[in-house]
Parts: sequence; C-alpha cells; structure tokens
Amino acid sequence: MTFLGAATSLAADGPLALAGPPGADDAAPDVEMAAHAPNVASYTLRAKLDPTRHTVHGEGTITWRNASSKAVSELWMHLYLNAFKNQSSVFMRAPIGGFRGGHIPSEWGSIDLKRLVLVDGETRHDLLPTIELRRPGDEDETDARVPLPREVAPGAEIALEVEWDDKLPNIVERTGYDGSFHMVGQWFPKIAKLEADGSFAHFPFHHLGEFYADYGTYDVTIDVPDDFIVGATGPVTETRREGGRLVERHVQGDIHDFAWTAWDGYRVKKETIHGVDVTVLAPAGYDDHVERELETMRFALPHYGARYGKYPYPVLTLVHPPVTASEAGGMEYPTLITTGQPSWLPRGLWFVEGVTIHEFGHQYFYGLLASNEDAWPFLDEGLNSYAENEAMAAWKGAGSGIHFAGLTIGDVEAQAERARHFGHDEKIAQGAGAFATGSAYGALVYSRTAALLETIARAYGKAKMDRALGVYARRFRFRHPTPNDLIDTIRAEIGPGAADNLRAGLFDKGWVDYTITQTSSHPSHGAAGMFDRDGKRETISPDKTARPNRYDGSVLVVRRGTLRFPVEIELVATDGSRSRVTWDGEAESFRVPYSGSAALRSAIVDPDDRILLDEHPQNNFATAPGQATAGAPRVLERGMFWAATLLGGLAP
Amino acid sequence: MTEPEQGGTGAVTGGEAAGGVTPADGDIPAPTATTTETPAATATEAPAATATETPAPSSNADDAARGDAAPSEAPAPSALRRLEPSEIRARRRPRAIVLVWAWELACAFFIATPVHAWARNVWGAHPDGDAAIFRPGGHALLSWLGDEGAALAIVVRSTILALAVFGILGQIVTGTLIASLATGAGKSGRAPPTSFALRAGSASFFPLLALGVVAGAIEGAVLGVGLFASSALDHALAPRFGDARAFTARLALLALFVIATLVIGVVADLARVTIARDVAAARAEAPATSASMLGYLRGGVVAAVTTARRAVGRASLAWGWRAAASIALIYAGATAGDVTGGRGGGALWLLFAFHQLVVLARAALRASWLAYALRLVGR
Ligand SMILES: [Zn+2]
Repeated sequence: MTFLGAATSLAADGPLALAGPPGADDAAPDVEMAAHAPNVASYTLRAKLDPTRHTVHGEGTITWRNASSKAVSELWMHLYLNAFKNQSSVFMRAPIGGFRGGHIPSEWGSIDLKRLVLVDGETRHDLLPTIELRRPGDEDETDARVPLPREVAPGAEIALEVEWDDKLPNIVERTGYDGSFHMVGQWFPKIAKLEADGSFAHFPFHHLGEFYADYGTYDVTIDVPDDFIVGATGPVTETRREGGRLVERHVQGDIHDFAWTAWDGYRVKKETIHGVDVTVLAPAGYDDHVERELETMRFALPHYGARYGKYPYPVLTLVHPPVTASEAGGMEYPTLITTGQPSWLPRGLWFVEGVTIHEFGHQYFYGLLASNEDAWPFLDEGLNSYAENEAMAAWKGAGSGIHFAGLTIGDVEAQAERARHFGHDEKIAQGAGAFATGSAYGALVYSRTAALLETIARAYGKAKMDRALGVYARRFRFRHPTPNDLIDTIRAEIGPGAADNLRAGLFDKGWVDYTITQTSSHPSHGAAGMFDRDGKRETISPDKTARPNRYDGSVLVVRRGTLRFPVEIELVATDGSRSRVTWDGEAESFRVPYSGSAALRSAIVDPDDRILLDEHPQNNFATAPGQATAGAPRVLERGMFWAATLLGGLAP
Repeated sequence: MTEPEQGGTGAVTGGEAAGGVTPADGDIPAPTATTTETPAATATEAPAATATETPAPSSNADDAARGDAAPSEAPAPSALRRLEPSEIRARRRPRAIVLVWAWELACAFFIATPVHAWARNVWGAHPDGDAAIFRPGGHALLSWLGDEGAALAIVVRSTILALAVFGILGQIVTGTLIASLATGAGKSGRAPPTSFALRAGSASFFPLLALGVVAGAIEGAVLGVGLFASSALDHALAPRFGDARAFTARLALLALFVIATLVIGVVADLARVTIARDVAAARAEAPATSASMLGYLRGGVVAAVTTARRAVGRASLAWGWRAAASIALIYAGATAGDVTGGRGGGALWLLFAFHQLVVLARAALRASWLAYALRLVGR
C-alpha cells in the first residue's frame, strides 16, 4: 500500500473525515474557469543572437493598456539583465547564501536601451532622455521609471517602440550562456504589473525574488545561426533559413513572460501527450533522462489537468541544460521549463521526475495563477511544492523522493523535514527580499508551505484539499490571486479551522508539537476510605474494593504551539489490544481515560503521521512506567549485519 | 547435513565469544550458544561448496575439530608442523572459520552499540519501537536524523572509531586463520589447537599491520591517481562529446584503476598469507626462534611478488569469483533486510539468522581464498 493510499483511505474512513467527496479524478469542481487572459501588455519583438559575442540585439513594439481605475503618467520598466551588470546591483549586493546562484559572473551581463519611443498617433515622443534608471544613492539599474509626456486614461492603450542590446552573462542564475549554450530569460524591457489601484508593482531584481507581470500576447521572432536549435515560449508559426541563419517566429497569447534558448548541441525529441505537443531539448547522451521526462509528462499533464484545470496551451518545451550550465535548470517560463540532473542519476532517485513535475506545476502556480512572486513567493513556490509532493506521491507511492538501495523516502516527508528548520525565525508570508538567508527562504517558502498544506490535507481530509485547490486554481486562472484569495477558498471549502491554521502558519510563524506527558494504569478498584452511610461510619480497605481483571488509567496529551489540528490518540494495552480516540486539538491538553482488561502499556498521539508539521515526532509517544518498552531490536540487528559486513570488507 | 562431531563441540569457541554479547535488555536477537551451533554446522558445508577445484583430502582431518576442546588430549606443540601446500584446505578448518565469525559477531555488537543505544533511547518507548523508523516514506527516520543535536555526530564518530579499532585488531584474527590453515598436527595435518593459532596470530600482528599500512598506501595512491586521471579525461572530453559520454569514459578509466587496486590487494594477500604462515611455522617447528618483523615482511613481499609474476592471473581469478560470491551474499542480505522492513518478532529473528549465515559464509569464502593463496605461494 502506498503512503498516499494510506493517507487517502484513512482520511476517508477515519473519524476525522466528514462528508467524503468522491475520489481524486472527480475532484474537478463546478467552478467557472476563464478561457483567456485579459490582454494588457503585449510584445511584438525581434531578437538576433550573436553566439560568439553572447549578445542579443532586440527591437519591436509594446502595446500596453491601462487596466487600472486611475490615469497613469509614468511607466515602470524592468531591465533585469542589469542585475548582472556590476556588484552594485540589488541582486549582487544581497548577502544571501544557501539558495541557487551564489557566484559572481566572470562575464558581466547588461541590457542597454537604444530606443524608447511613445507612438501617439502622428506624434512620436522620445522617452529615452527622461528615463530614470537609478534612484539616488543606488546604482541598481533593473527597475527604471519612464515618465510619460501625457497621462494615460483608464482603459486607454499606448504603443511603445523599443530597441535594445543584451549582453548575456555567463550563467550564474537562470539566464546567460555557457559555451555555445544560451538560455535567454529576463532579456527584454518589460513593463511592471499595474495594480487595480493605479500603482505599479515594480521592484528591482533580487537574488531570491522572481517575477510578476500582466498578461498579454507575445509575438517573438528569433534569429540564430542555422546550425542552432531554438526552444522558446509558444508554438512556432513561421520558420525560414536564409543567409546561414535560422529565423523562427513564436506566437502565444494568455501569457506574461517569454524565454528562449539556442544551442548547437541539442538533441530534439517530440511527442504529443494529452493533446499537447511536448518537445524535449537535451544534450547528447541523455536519452534515458529524455525518456524519464516524457514519462513524467505522460503522468503530469492528465493529473494536473484533472486537479487544477486543463493545460490551455498547445505546446510545452522541456529544456535539459548541459551539466556545466545546470544553473539554467529548474526554472519555469510560460510553456517552457528547464529541468536538470546529471546523466548518471539512476531511476529510483526520482530527482529528474521531481524537477520536471515541479517546473511543470509552475505552469499553474505562476503561469495561470500569476501571483506576485516578489511579494508572496509562497503562493507560487509553496503551493507548487505541495502540488509536486501530491503528484509524486500519486505517481510513485511511498518512495516518491527516493526508492533506492533499501531506502523509501517520500518527497513530502523530505519536505517536512526541511520545514522544521527556520520555522521560528521568520514568517513564510513575506517578500522574497525580506528573508535573511537563502536557506530560510528555501525551507520556509517551499518546504514549510508544502508541509503546512499537506498537514491540513491529512488532518481535515485529502479530498477536501483536492477540491479546495481545484476551486482556487480554476477560479483564479489568468488572474493574480493574493494570500487572502487562497485562505478564503480554504475557509469556504475545508472550514474555518483549516483556514485559521493556514493563516497562522503563513503569517504568524504558527507551529505545533503534540506530546504525551503521562501514561499510566493501575488495577481497578472502587473508592476506599471512611464513608458515613445510613448513620453509620464504614471503613473500606483498598483490597476490598478491587475489581479483578480490570485496569484504569489515563494518558495526558499536550499540544504545544499555536496551531490546532485535530489528532488521533492510540492506546496500547499489555495484551496487544489497541484503541483510538480523536481529539479536536483545541485545548492545550487532553486527558484520555483508560479502562480495560489489561494494563496500559503505551500510547501515541498522531499514530499515522498526519501532522507533518509536528515539531518533534520523537515525543509523540510514551510507555507506562514499569512496562517494558518495545526497544530498538531492528536497529541492532541491521547495525550488526552492516558492521560485520564493513569489518569483513566487501570481498574476501 | 551435519557431521556428527561438529554439533556438540563446535559451539565451544563461538559460545565463549557470544556469551559476552548477550544484551541486557533482552529485546535483541541475542547470539547465544544455541545460535552458534547452527552456523558451526553450516561452516562445514560452506567451504565444501568451494571445493570444486580440488578433491577433498582424507576424512580423518575432522578429528582435529575436537583439538582444543579438551586440552588434555591436544597434541603437543612439537607435533605441529607446517603443512604441505597440497594439504591446505579451508574445509578442514571449520572451527577457525567459526572463530572468525564469532569475532565478527562480537565486534559487530560493539560497533552497533552506539546507534542502537541512540535508537532505543529515542524510539524505544514507541508502541512499535523502532519499527517507526522503518515505515515507508521515512517521516520518523528523517525527523530523527535531522534533529539538531549532538547525538548523530557522536554516534557517527564512535562507530567509525570502533570500526577502525576492530579492523586493526582484526589482523590478529586474520593471522590466526592463516596459522590455522597453514599448520597442522600429526600425519593427517589436524587443525592446530586454537590457543596455538591465536598465539601465532598475535605474533603476526605487527608484520601484518605494517603490510596493511604499506599496501593500503599503495592502493590509495593508485586509486587517487585513477580519480585524478579520470576526472581530467572527463573534463577534456566533455566540451567535444558532451558531459554524458565524457562521464562514461571517466567511469571506464576509473574502472581500470579500480581493477589495478584490487590486483594489488590480491598480491598483498599473497604476502599476508606468507607472513602469517612463516610466523606460525616458526612457532610450530622451533618455538624459541623468532625472526624480526622486517624479516617476515620482506619474506612475505618477496614471495608475493615472485608468486604474482608467475600466477597473478590465476590468483586474481580465484579471488575474483569469491569476491563476486561475497558481494552477492551482501546483496542477498540487504534484500532480505528490505523485504523484512519494520517487521519484528519471528521475522526479525529469521532475518538475524539469515544475516549471520551471510557473515559466516563470507568468513568461509575468505578462508577458502586464503587457503588458495597459501597453496599458490607454495613452500
Ligand atoms: Zn519552483
């Protein structure tokens, strides 16, 4: 029986489960789902790659609509390649360790605007002279303010002509080159997301931060040497070869970013899966990984479709970067994801599958639910990590992380372990730039969010969580949901207890540690002592009150911390019989009475490991004083075998 | 399956060693005198399975099994002699093999004690005991190992230290096994008394240790060069052929160096058997004499090199198939552990028995290889 199977059946059969909705495949809730995104910022661009100088020359037009309720007199434009321009950028200044990309580039990267013209009917306004690249006292050039010559009224549309030059850095984080391999992300001047209140959600490129943008249509023509292979967002609508160059046009609507890659070392494999044209680009010698990534998509496309709504795009491109450019791996862009892992990684170490399913999940939690990744990184990375854990468990069972050499480690269990660290240091729900270290960011945003959601799913019923996230993903498709949107959905679909725990876990460093502090029983007897009855005093000695073959006792369960999950408590008697009671977990402690024909041997709270967030599972049980413990004979046996084996050497 | 005289007396040496490892809490599959009887009986079979190369010698060799069980009947040391190569057979030394197993069992208990104490302290009070950390998914296991505390570091350090100490002391056991194989009493070449073999093994401790250090250094150097060269090859090939193919080439080159290292190990074993045999023979035939440690070391190395020149292929092959069988046994043990999972009770006892059979069979394979090496080195 797989771990997921266990969790599901317990949630359905156990005393905690309320009305049981049907199984996972029927989870599709009856919620209206937008067919298209609003067209706010659309880009028609041409890009020409010089693979020896590692430069991209770009030009084109941006049409932008004021989708807010207020007139706007300036634009904010992200020039994120400037994060790699010098060590004074916000990106390079961040004193961050423990997350991806810690190196200083040996080749700096930059984006230089050459032309920025507002086309206003017959009039053309050159915006370049008035652009403000830097704030006073700050050399960062990733977040530019562009004053406009006139206000743009709500609902009005403007067109900008742009031309620029990119110098790609050698890859230090996500984007850049390695030899002739080029991964081109965050490469064009991009207008920041305009919020409904007329303010721009603009921010410099931070080491830990990701992105946020309005939806639109991207029509991008890419020009590379003709021995290169291109992978890019959206389907190819035009291909031609001329003058030793390959020119590919990619057009895709309902997206909010565009990335592409070009390399002369790619091997290409294509397959139509669940109605989607999937292309895998990988280095030579990676055939097995390519097959594993396709296997993953054969599982993931229908699985995510059933849970979070059908994948709406016609194509999906998986890019497996060469091992020397692994920093380009493990990243998501609309309809294009990058994977990774070295060629020798065997099956059973499911990291190829894990990274593929994680990045694909971002097509939902980032692509279709375009939250502000800079302000609320947990909304994409945390929810997506939960979705990854759920999918991997549904696919691979208990060993969904590692099933190798006798180890059976679940993806979500590994996540839960990481989630125990940093939980008291910082809150999950904060901006990417607010985290003190990359390790805290990773543990809290990814792991603790996932473990919190998994705990809610196991405590209140997985079917309810399936439904809640199904509703959330459909209702907010092609929108920009906030933490409240998520919490409100959980409240409506699972209940106030789950929502309160979620809010406390996200915003208030919520934690919980269940423990058993007392376990005891004694032979049963009535009350002894002096009793005045019918005018006479009667003294009853304890031995006269004894009830043969009965034992009474109790177990004291304590809940430490601020989260309140319902839990089960299992009582084990010396005759081996077991019984369970449920506690709503609201009070700080709970005394479970015991009465049985055998003495109480031991007790355990949360015997099925539903509270993954429990700080210290090692204190969830106790053996009654005077009772023999179950000990650790398995560890001794295994330890002795392996000690003798090591002592004897591998061979005679 | 059991030769009659083995059942009763075979337990004596094993029983003594095992007595010390009987655990206090009684929840452990404790090795007792009873359990040693079965492996002792099997020990006579295990080497037999390896006996395809040469027909078994005369059956009265088994008389020796009773040797030091009744010291009053033991032959006088002067009756001991160095055996002719053709007389050397592992199957004629079941008691020595059991002794090796008993030693490993005792060591294993000590080595496993820190981790067992830790697991018992943390998980012992769980209704299912340490079954919790064997649950699929690894929730309890990860939580335990990830706990920020000093226990993991202490357990790891003390386990490694115990392994090292027992590994070094194991030279005496190797020497004892070789002494037992290489010497015999009477016309039939009965096994020498255990006390004699142990004394001879102890006497060969320093030369064997010195040999181990020298051989280990050479093996380490070859492996180090292999790691460096294969890494350099990988880096040289990767730009042109891609990292996947370059890595395959790296593995292929590294495999050559690993084979070279293993061959050096085989040659070192030839030296090992020579040294321990010479020490034992000297004590058997002229107890008063004792050559210098360097003398034995030099003699061993010279004999090993001479033998290797003539028969390194045969030696490597003889070692190789036993090594393969040994690794297969380890794999079987690991698989059995996997299949058993967190089960306790009878299943755990069965697993313990099977694991100890594996350990015993590997000791028999080692004895078989050392006997072959002794024959190969010749006089
Ligand atoms: Zn992610």
